[in-house]
Amino acid sequence: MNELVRQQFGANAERYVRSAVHARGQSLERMIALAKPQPHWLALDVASGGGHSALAIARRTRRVVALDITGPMLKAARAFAREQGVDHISWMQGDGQFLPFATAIFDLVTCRVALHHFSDPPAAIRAWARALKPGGRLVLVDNVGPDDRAANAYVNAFEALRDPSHGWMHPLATLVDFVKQAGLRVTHVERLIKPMDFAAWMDRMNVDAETREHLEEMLRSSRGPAREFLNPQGRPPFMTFDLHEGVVAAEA
Amino acid sequence: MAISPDLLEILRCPVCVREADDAGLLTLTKDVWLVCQTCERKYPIRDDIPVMLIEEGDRWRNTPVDELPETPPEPVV
Repeated sequence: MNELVRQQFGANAERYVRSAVHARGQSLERMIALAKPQPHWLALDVASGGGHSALAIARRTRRVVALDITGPMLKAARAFAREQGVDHISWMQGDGQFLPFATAIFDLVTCRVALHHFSDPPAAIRAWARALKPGGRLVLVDNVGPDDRAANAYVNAFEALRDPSHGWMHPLATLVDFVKQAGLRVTHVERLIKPMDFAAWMDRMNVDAETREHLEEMLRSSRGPAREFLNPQGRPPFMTFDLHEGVVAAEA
Repeated sequence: MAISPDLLEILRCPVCVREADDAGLLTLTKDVWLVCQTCERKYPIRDDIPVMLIEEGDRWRNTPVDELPETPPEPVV
């Protein structure tokens, strides 16, 4: 899985860093509002990707450590941050499931739209909980799937067809359970529904023509709870579907 | 210096820190290598980015410190 993530995001690093969806998503605003970063804080952004969360937090804190498994992504994100005049982010290559940090040192840990790539999400969240100071805050944002098991499998297959490094989206309630099981106290849960431009969504991962047809067919032929969840609208080439993001805030 | 002292203070070997809270302290060597004091895995700093991946640490574990390259080579993909 890690190798797939590196291939997929290494090849598409620049596109992700420049992505308007990731830079200005509603979930980023919600994450910052819930994290309430303080100027003296040391923050960790796990699976930082294009560095959009790290950048937003860095504008409010003394130092942010941005960790990502993909080297080219880190370099692209660092260049982008420097363009913005931000130089107090420490960029680091590492696996969000095996954090290379001392215990109880961060005031804030964030992870936005990445947990579904992880092979063992509960283990990852336990590692983040260990890195948090007592009273430290976690804000986790991730794409979530429908509660219905079969519908969730369908929506995950749809996502995996577009991005082979896609692991598994869990229902929001499952994410909340993972956080609780890591020994954290959940303080806030919400769901954001984001209509996605179907073509732009595929463009970001450089999807080939044949796969585009498959994806379109999957969207068109979805039924029942999967269709209710995806909520496809419009006709090719101007189609949208709904992406659901779960936001979970917790304290150590 | 490829890494600031305050960052070095919070960084740990990702393998050893899971075993015990005080394990996995790192020593900066040749300005571009982080050597675990517990297990001797060695993590390169490439282009000012510490590469704290376990497979990288494993790759250099048996290389004596004085034989580590002055410039860490790119990873074998």
